[in-house]
Amino acid sequence: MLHKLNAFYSGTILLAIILLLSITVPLFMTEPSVQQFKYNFDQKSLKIPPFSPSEEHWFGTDRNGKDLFYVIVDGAKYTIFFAFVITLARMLLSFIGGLVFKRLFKKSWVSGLLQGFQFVPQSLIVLFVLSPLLFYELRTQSVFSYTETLLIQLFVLVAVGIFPLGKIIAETADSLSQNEYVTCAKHMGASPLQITARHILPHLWPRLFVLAGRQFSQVLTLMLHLAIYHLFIGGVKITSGQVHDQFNNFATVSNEWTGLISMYHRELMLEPFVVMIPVAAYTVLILCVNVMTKSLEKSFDKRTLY
Amino acid sequence: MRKVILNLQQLFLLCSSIILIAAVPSFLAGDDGIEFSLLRYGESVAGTLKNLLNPDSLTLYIHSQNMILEPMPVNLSYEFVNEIYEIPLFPEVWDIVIYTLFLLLISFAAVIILAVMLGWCAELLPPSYKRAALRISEFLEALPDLFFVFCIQLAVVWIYKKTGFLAANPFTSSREPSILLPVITLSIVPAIYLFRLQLVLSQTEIEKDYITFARSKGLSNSHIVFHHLIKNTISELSIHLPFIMLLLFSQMIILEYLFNLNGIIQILLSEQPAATRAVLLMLIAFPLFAAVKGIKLFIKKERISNAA
Repeated sequence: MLHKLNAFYSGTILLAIILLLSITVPLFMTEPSVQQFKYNFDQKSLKIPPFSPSEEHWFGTDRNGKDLFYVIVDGAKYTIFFAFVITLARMLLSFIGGLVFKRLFKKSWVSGLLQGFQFVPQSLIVLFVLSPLLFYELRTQSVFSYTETLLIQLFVLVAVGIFPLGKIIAETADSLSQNEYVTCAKHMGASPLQITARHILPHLWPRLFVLAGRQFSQVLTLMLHLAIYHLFIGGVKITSGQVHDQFNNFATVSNEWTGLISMYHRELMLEPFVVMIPVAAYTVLILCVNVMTKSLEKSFDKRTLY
Repeated sequence: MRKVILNLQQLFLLCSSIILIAAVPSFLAGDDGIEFSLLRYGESVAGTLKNLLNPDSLTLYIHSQNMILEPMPVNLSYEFVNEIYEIPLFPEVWDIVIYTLFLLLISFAAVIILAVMLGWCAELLPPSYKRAALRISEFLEALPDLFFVFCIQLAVVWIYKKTGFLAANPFTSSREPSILLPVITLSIVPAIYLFRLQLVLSQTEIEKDYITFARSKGLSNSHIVFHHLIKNTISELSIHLPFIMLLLFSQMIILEYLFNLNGIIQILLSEQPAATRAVLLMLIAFPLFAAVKGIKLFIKKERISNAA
């Protein structure tokens, strides 16, 4: 059993290490101060940021001279934490909703209405709802404080995912209740509550874990898609890029990775490493979650066979 | 006939759910700050329906920033004034809608053809290679879509810098829309997904009795793959087509920004009335719905005519 779950454990350990580093490192390390330039007296050469990766800056710096290693490590916990909270809330609510309204989800008009979520991506819906609330003009204040912003975002991100997920859970529970032993129990006079607790839940649990893993990576993708349109989880700081406001700079408040990717996107053709480092970190995170989910799924598939 | 009515009913429900979704912002947004109000939501839905009944009344907001120079002796600096024009929706958006739909549908076709073709080829490989292909596709599927986008853009520009050969237009300029690269990047992730699915499905299919029977009759491997295996896996694949569509559309949203495409998303995301948004979403969603249903129907028909 253990060696089958190897991928799962290594994924968990990697995630735990990232989280631990991200929580402890900012406690012991202060953010390296910004260096405006580097002058080499021997070669008489002047360097200005972005500095490429070196011993001093492990991941290099961005155009403002911010140390990327510190930013990435600091942002990891927020990224994981946001995605985790959203996933957990979605799973909980749609689990309850899916079981309570199991019959309702089966009706053809309900599934027809839920088709909207099949043809309109979640990111588009979230952008519809949040962009009038959270975007503000340069040199004005956002209507909401950072906590309010965060709460609204959590609310909308959770709400948009409940319906499709609830449908999946309801369908799974329904297919489980088609089993013969459930019919038997019904004839013996078991109440719906009893049937759910005794016969459906034990089979539903493992699938819920797999679903949660998939949701987690979906939420991460959703966060990235929102961040591309400058809707950062936790809030955005808008500053002017140049004297005449030719362009705006959008910065994340929390250093979370998806926000960093979007923030450094402009560097893609200039200094690719600045944007590729957050992209690599984000890729590792998603890869980790997906590999964990896959191995979980495989081990549960085997268990149901025997 | 019953099928047609059923599909029409589904289409109607899709339509109403899009109207409901497009009106959601009015449920949350009050005059200042958050105010939940079902009444406002209902009003917004009713307004959308009323506007939909006469399509000529639909309008598109155009946001423009005009530079104004003050008269000379007063001030040398200039200011920018934001203005919003209102123009009729209909002749204006067709080009944009068609461009977006073109990209989506072309990539949809490319995804299906590519995944099924590669699936066939992979079936003909020896088992160890097949397992390797499955592993690789599982790994690639786990990567985020943005990773591919950045890599492709960087690669194209890098090749251009080194050799002076521009394989395809990596960003849309005002003169020529970029088509090839968005289609390629759109189709990568869904194609990998479908390819892996095809491999997994045929893995279970190949153990069934009729395949063993066909083998024992002495039919060649390629004959079995082309005549038996594919036809039986493809109907199961078609269950996943709506998901592929969703994947394509949600990738389209970010690609439009990253490739600077002149598509529908930027209109949808700018400040527009709810009715306009609903109509634009419908214009996109209906063809996607039709494509998914059409391909499902086609596969079913093929299977029935083959069985007869």
